[in-house]
Amino acid sequence: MTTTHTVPGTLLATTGITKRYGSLTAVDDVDLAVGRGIVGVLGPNGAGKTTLLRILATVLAPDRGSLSLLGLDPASPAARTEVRRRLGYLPQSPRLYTGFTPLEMVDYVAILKEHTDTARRRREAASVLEAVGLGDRMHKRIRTLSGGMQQRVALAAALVGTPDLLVLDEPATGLDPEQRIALRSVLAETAARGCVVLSTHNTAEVAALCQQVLVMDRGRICWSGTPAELAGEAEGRVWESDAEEPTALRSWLTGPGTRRHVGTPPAGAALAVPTVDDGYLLVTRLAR
Amino acid sequence: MSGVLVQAALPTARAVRWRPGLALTGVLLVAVVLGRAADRSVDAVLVVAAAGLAATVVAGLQDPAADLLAAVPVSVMRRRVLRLALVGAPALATWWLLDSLSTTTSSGPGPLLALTATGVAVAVWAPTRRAVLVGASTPVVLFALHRVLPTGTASDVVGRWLTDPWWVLAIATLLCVAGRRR
Repeated sequence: MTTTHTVPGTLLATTGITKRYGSLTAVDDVDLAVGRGIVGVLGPNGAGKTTLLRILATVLAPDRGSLSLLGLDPASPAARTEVRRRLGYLPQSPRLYTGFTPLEMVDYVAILKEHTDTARRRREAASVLEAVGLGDRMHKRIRTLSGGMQQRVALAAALVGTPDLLVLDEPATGLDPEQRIALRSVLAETAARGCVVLSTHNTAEVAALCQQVLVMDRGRICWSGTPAELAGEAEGRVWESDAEEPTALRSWLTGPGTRRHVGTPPAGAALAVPTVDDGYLLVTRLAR
Repeated sequence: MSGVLVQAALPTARAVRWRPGLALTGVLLVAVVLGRAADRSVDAVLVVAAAGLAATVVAGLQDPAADLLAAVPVSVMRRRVLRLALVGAPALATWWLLDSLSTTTSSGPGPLLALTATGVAVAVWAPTRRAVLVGASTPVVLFALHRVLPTGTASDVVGRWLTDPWWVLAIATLLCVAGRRR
């Protein structure tokens, strides 16, 4: 089995990974080093987030560059299998066997994660379903569950086997606010012992959950840091007024009826406290 | 690993869509019984059965939860072999049942196996998203082309699954093995 040498504490590292689909470069020369905790990947549609997460989940092999997951190089089949034993993966918009119950679905995934002790496996499947708030629905057919509940079944399938590395592509899709808060606790537990990488469009989710944020655009990581640092990027560059502002990179009408602007404020502008949203907008606009 | 596949067999069988295969089996049985009752040859039904059952077996590779299962330690190839075994065994049994009900001398299960292996090979090498659909269509397309094309070289080549099924089976199996990492 191939092991790779990375900085101690690093659970996930990439060097120059690139993935192309024909003439489109979906992931372009990405370098990463991530330890324990939760990493959020932000970016506009088509930025390459899903492709990057598929590479990190060993589903796709990069065309170029090297990858180390949990200290192993997944390019080797034996190492890839070993990584997968310790990996949980939630793809974007996953489909399930709708004739199964949540318990049967999660149990099936656990079998394929090579958990062969039936009694223990069933207990763990029930336990992760409890953790995602489906304890009372685990014996209902999946086809009778709402979209949000089906998303939680898929999340439970990713969580089964207490993975050290959890790769989640838009895990909060279809979840209501209460379920989102429950999701945060579940992910925080996993992050206490390993690494969680999640992609999202929801900057509030990132601010609440993540220790590290990566902003992707056109296949590249154009910014990385903490959520506070991302908000800090917009320090002194967010203001509010009643009128359109020609110097603004981006403006929008807020609920109370004033306009919020991100860009270079004019003299005497009423500066506002920046949010992760503002920082993200600024970073992605400046990257273009 | 074999223990994992044994434990996975029952839920995998439950995840397979059996209705198309059962419907096809019913239609084929009726056709053979009616043919026999009318004292007519059912050779054509057996050829149709080979193409239809092969398409059904290849279609059994379709896994709706493939994305969710993409990063489990049991590889997609092993999961496909399990599905083929689960769907292929009843298909072969159906073919033998139809064969035993017919009164003509059979050419054996070669055409069924050759078409199935060809469909699987196409599914292995076709672009991922439509791979199983293209693979499952292959036996039907080969059957239709063999019936439609005028006698000649093209028809001979397309009809190899009927005239030289074991060679076709061997070549298709090699292609499957060569594409096992895809």
